[in-house]
Amino acid sequence: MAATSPTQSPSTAETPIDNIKGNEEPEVVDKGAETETETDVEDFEDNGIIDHTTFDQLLEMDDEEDHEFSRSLVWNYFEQAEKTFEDMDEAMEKLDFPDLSRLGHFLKGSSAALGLTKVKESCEKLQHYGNRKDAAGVESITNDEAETLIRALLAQMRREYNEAESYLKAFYHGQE
Amino acid sequence: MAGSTDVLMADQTSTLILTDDSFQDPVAATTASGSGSGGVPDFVKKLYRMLEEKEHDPIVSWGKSGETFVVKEPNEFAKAILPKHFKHNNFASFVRQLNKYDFHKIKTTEDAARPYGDQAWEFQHPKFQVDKRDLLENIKRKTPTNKKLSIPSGSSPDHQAATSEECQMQLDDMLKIQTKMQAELTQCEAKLKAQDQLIHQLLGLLGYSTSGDGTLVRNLSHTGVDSKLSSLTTSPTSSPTQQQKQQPQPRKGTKRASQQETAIQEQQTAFNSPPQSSTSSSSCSPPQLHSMHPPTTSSNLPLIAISTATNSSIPSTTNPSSTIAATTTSTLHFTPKSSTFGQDTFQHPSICQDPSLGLSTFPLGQLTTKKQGDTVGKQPTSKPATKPTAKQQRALAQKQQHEQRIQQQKEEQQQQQQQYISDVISNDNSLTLQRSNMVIPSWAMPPKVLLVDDDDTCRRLSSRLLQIFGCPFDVAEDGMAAVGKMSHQKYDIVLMDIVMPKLDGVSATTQIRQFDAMTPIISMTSNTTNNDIMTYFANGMNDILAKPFSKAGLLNILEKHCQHLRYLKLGTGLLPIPPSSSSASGSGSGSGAVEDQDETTRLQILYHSAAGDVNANGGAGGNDSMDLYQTGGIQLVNSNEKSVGNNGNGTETVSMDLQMGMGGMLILNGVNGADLASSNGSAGGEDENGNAVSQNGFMASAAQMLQQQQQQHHQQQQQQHQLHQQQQQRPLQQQQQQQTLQDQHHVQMMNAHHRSSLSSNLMTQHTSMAMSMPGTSASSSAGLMSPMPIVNGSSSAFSTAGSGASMMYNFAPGSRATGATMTLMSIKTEGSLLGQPGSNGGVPQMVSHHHVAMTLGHPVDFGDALGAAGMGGMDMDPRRKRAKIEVIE
Repeated sequence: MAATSPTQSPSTAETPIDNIKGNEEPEVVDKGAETETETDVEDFEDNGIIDHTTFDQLLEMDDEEDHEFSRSLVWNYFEQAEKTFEDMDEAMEKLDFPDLSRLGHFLKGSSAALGLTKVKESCEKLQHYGNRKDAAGVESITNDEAETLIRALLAQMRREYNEAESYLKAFYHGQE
Repeated sequence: MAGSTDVLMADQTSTLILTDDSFQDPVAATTASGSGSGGVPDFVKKLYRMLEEKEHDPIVSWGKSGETFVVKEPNEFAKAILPKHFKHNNFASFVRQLNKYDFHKIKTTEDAARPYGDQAWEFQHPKFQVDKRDLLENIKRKTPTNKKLSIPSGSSPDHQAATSEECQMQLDDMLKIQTKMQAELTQCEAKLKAQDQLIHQLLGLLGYSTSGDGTLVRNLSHTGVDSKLSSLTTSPTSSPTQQQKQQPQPRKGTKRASQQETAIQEQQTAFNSPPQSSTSSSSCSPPQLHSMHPPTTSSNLPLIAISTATNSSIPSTTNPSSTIAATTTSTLHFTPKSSTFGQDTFQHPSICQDPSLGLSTFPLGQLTTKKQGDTVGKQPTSKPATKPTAKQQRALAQKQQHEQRIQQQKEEQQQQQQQYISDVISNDNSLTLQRSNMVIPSWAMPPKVLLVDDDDTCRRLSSRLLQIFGCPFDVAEDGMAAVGKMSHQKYDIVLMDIVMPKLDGVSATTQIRQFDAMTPIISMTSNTTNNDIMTYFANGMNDILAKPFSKAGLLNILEKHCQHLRYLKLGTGLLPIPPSSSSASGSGSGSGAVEDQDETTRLQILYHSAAGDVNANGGAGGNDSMDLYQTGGIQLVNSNEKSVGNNGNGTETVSMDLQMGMGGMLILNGVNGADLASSNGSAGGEDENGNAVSQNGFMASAAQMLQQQQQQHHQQQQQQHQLHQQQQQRPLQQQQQQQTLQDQHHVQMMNAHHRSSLSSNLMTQHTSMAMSMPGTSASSSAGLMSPMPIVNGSSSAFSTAGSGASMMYNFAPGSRATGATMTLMSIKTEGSLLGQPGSNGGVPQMVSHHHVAMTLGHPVDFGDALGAAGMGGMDMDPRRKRAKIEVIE
């Protein structure tokens, strides 16, 4: 496979990877079989890391032979997300709420595009919290409340992201 | 030369016979001009003579310095003088002719004094001066025409002899080169053999094993067809005898082409190579081959076309696999494991962009074909070169062989394709499934998209989708960039992210809407609360594409807003449109006649699709008003199409309505039907926002239509486009094209009118009206063009950047009964009419002047006054009112 593989995943969450790998195995053999993916998908539907409708669509954009395009997109997203998380942490230091909101929005877009539902939802919340609104973006909250919520949210978001990252990396690893 | 008056007199006669283009025939020109002035082209002589006639002085004369000449009144000139001297009445032709002889127009600046009047065209040529007839000889037609002329004139026996010598030398050279090439070919063949071996090794690594006797055995079996192929023999360089042994093996139908192909290929190679090439010394027997061929099947042209593309990538891989290897590869291709190999090596970059291919991987068997095709191509040339005494027999046999091979190739292609398809079906269900999802609309012309998004991931994703949909697109990373791009280029649709650095999508849209009201701008956003949406629409966005959007979602939006681009061939045949070299149509990627036609077609379709919306769309914002604008555009083009189709009828209506309403708007009404106008009249009321100044109690429906079209950047572009078309069509001067011109002209009038509606004062209905735009003076030239009294309207500032359109209308009092009504209009564009330099870039002509004169009514009644005689090639049917148009560059 000609896919140039960017930085391989750090040793995050070994168990899930194995788990996922096992599930992905049939697809490795039958390359490009999206139907397979969809059946696999069932297993992951519950934990909601990934919106498979969206992600499958992404895969559909690939050439038959490999997942070069989606892969590069996903890896690109990883980089983007890592950077954004750093920015978020920085903004958190400064309690720069507008910036947090902006960053939330920014990451939301690409997370949504890849179907990383959970990250996306968290981003949306961050967007609202940054605007000093509640999670639904309706009621106003105070700065202090926002700070607390955002701190918790950032950690949660990070977790969700790591999960998704592991899943995706395993998926693409399995493709090779 | 001073005494050549007699000669010139004689020329007078010849003038009648010869058109001004007749110098293309140098003999005729020389005969006519006699020995005295042999070198002076007719045109120049005529021009000089014309200037000598003092009675023309008020119209055309020498310049004050004597080094130039001035056409003071182009219209009068075209009408009265041109026919006399040049046997035509087309000023543009005259100017072109001048250009050909390297005359230059002297440009006058806007505010400079114009000693000869505003309409004057002053031309100069360094060798064309008053009382300096002897200089005329030095005036030559510019190259390259000159060169062409010089060849026949210089064609002497000597020259011919030289030519044949030259030819001989060239032939010799070519022979040498061919010999060289042949030698290189031999070398290449040797190399190929080596490569071949390498490939075998590679194949081994990829899951194939080569058995000792050189038979390739596939480890993975596939479909039935494949298994047959798996016995495919390769051509080991080491065992030519083996090869020979295999050749006589029966090739019954079941073994099919591939195998034969291989063997034949080998034979062919052997055949080609000189005896010293030990690798392929095996003899061949073409007749035998001939008898072996199975019946052939029809060709598969699309595949061949693809294979060409494929082949182009081969040299770059620096892996010139032998034909046999390629054949093998094609077999390999059908196994999943090796398929990546093929993909990596031969994937064509554009393949994913061309959705019509459907399957983005092509059967690699085509490589074989192409390769072989190459050898086929080379053989006939190389053979005689190396062996000038080559036996005819052999050549004949070879020829036969070629034919057979070509047939075989076709067959093989088919077979392989079938194989491939069956592979796809049997092994890769998801693949077909996947592709069926990817069905994309058949664009008549894919919409050109501007994608505005700051997020790289989203941008790439959207880009990919657009790629899949076959849409050309540009990306902008923020609002600022988007505004910049929009001002330089025309897009069919804009996909605009909202939250962006520098300039957000809403603000960008607001800015874009200041100069472009037409292009649909779609908000691509994840913020889709009601409030947000209201904001988007209020700021001129046309639709929402909620993020994350699906493929279908995006496609849906594209289809919805570019409906007019979707279908093919709806009445395009009506318009004989010459290819346009410009990007005047602004539609981006494509060019040429097809695009032009599409431009027309799409708007025509717009009419069909949206005309019914007129009543529904009052003045609602956002989406609805979008439709409204579109409707405007539709009317416009439909008028165009319709009257072209109807010829007489449509035209008649048009002119009648013009008489009634004196304005571009009513032309449209006339064509499109009064009901449309009236419905606009009722709907338009809501749209009036401070532009009432343009109405002045003039016909209400017309004014309201104007308003609806106020921002029709789109149409204005089309106007330009059509102007351009006019320019191109003019020389043809055919009846129908005249019609076309006329109808297009209506469009222009409407647009111009529309623009000026912001600043015009309409004086009195059915008397006269003049409107002018800033930057040009309209009044005096109007006087030149019309025998009627003129009332000029004053103009207020028109703010759109870059607009420098001036136009005037002259309206004569007239009645429908007599039909003695006329309109004169002059549109002078300076720079872009649209304020869109980008779209103008390819249309240098547009920068020059366009004078559009149009008459309506009975030519008999007033034709002379207007210069109907100057409207060359027109139908002068007095029973029918007809517009006469002349565009002068």
